[in-house]
Amino acid sequence: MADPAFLRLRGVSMRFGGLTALEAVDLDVARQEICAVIGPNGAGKSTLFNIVAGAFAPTEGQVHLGDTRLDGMPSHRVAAAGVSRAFQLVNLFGTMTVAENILVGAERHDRLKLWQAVSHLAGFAADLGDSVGRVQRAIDLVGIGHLAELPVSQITYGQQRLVATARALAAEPRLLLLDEPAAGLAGPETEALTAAIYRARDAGTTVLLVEHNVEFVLNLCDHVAVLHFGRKIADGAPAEIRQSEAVIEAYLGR
Amino acid sequence: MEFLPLILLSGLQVGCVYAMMALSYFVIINATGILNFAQGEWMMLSAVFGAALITAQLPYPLAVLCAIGGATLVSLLAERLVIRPLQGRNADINTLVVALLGILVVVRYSTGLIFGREEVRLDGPLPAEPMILGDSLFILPQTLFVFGATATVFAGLWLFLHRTTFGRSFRIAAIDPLGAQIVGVDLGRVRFAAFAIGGLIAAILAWLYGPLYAAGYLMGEAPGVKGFIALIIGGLVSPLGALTGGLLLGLFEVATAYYIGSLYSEGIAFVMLMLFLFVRPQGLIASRWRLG
Amino acid sequence: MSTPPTASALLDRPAWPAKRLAIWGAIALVLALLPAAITNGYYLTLATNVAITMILTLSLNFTIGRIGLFSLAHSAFLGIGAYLTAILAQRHGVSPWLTLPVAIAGSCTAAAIIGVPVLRLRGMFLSVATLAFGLFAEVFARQASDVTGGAYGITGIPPLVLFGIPLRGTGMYLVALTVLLLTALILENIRLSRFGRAIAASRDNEPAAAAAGIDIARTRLAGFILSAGFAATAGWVYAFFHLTLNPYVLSLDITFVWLFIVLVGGLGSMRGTAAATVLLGIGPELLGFASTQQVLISGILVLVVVLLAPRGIGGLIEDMEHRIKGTTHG
Repeated sequence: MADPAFLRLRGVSMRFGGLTALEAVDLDVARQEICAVIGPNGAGKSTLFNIVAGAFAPTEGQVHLGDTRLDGMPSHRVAAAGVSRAFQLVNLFGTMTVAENILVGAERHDRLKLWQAVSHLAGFAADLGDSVGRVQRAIDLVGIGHLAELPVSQITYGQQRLVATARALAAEPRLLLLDEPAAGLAGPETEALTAAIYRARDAGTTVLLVEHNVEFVLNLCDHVAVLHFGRKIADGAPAEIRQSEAVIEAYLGR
Repeated sequence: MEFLPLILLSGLQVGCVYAMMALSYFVIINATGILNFAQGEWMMLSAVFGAALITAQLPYPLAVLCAIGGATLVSLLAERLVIRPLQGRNADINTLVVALLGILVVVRYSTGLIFGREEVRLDGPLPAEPMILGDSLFILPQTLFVFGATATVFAGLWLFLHRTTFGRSFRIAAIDPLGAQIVGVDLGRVRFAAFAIGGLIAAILAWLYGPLYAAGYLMGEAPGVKGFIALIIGGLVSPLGALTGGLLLGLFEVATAYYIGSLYSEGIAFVMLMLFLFVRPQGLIASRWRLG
Repeated sequence: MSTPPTASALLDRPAWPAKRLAIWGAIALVLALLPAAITNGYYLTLATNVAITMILTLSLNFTIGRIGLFSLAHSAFLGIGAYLTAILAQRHGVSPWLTLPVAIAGSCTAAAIIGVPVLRLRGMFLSVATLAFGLFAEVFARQASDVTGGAYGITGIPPLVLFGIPLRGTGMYLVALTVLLLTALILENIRLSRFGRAIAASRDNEPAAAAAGIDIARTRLAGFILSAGFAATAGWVYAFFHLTLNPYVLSLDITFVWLFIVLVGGLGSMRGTAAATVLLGIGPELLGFASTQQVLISGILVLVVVLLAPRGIGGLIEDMEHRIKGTTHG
């Protein structure tokens, strides 16, 4: 029997009132795998993603990450369990610089440590621990050192997306969730992003992404799952997906 | 239990005042999403201005009309000079609220400076001698006027919102501003009309409330606060909410004052408000209102 | 092309570098020596009042401007602190210095209790709920005569005693100043800490903050409770400065003035809030206006600021700084 997969979705269904967004979806993602969930509009990709990230609790089904059960946990606890997310709408902290944004991602927020906040006179150091190291590693991984001191209001959209990715990576997550990472990026930025994803994977992170750009996905990923009207219709290596009739029909024959 | 009719009458009377105040909040919040704390001050202006005009020997009906007109005008000025520029800048809701609080303070205290600090009597439109109902129940004509005017204003507003085209656009504007714009509703015009109608209702209220108590520069504070409490308790979605909340609050206050003592009747409104906000923020007449 | 600065260089900076400590130290020294220069008791009283107000407005600025909670309940927290202090010291003979932890504990507990349901509310409902609590506190202070002395309040509060000397006038000025400086120090420390970053992140972008592991509800509640503690401390100083207490301190007018001060100063700006507090605390007095006009003037100022200079005095200071340094805005 093969190792149980690292990220396991079993029978995940999501119903909003009368609308069924997901129907009994199973998905296994192996450790350090780059997996994408694709599908035409309305297929339920974002819903699935939000469930894994803790934004929604599924109507039915379970989500496990290693030994931890994720479904039903609020987003901040999912984050504490080792899951990091970069959003489709960039969602940077508008009043901070690039480095500060990444710092927030790098810091462990599970304990409030109010006393330290109130009392330290010596500077950030008492509070920072090894966070700064993580920030530097994330910056190097994504290659945005030249942006680090800039306020995020002064960088381009493409750069913002890279910063958001770096922020997600700064937590050194076990699972990285990327929400439409390639959307709105031009050539060199897409390459920077791809390189960053590979480096993250090599450093031990498992990556799950949701994407519209099918070519980007088929080139980047080890494993692709296809959703259509809330059900999984294909699941396998990019080569298989490329040739799957069900997939072709879903995308073209609507 | 012989006092029950008295409590009912008194409670409903004060309840109508709160309901009218709540209605004026309702119109504005429904059309624009703004909680205009300054509504009580438009009422105060109408009363104080009216009292001054009456003292200046203006014939009563003319004084009342001028006072109501003047107060409504100030409401419109507030909309034009403060709210419109801020909304044009997409200022966030808290900035708007602070601006309205600023207007409240400026209007209240400059009136205090200009018209003085004393409270004056305000005559109602009907003769002042109490009438006797049944065996021994005294009722003031003003009380009947309050009931009648409240019913008329509520009915009038309902007709406006449901039977006129412009009124219908009001209702859409609150529920879905973006959608309303797509259908061609001019949000700026709706906002202007909302401040006009809201201001008008508050200005009319001065002639219900003033003759019962007194007119002075501070008179807007208590009804102003109770008005939005009544609206939240009753529910923000329809005039029925304003009416229900107002009458309920009025009855509760009077009953509490009578049975438990005025020690607590003042605070009961705030306790009720907090309870509702924690347990049922959409109010009694529930709504699809977006909670913030 | 020069190498970009490292994360360490950008982030791992001392919060209190020598220059900053020197500036704050100098200001503290000048303020502490003020009584030597001001011999007129009236002006000293004015300065003390400004200091006490500033403790409150700085914490209100923290709540509204940094945490992002439009709370109108600060008067209640100050009131709880002040009344607990007065009742314990005057009626039960508790040693004055011991009343401080009780006052803080009282307000913080109240903040914790109402904070849980209130902080779940959004936007206008939050402000209305906090306003209701503030108004209720005022009514309670006025009506519950057995506990609070009703409309007449509590008089004859015994003064603070230090080394056998009762603290009045200059002594209380220095107490107020010390509390103020500590408040500012603590608030600055928080801003530069992980907790402070969590607060800023929660306000800037909730989904991203949650995804970064921040428990937004708990962070905000902690901030809310903390600011109630500052308000209680302001109340404690107030009680021992005036030695009498009545419900006026809980009135809506005063809440409005504080709110306007914070807005005029610029939401989130500590320097701006400080400047606005001094301006509105001293200005009307020096110009000869009665204190009732202070409300009117603050109302006018807030309208001016909201319409013409939305970032307030703090924003103006920042603009000047950028102009001097030749940098562009962040």
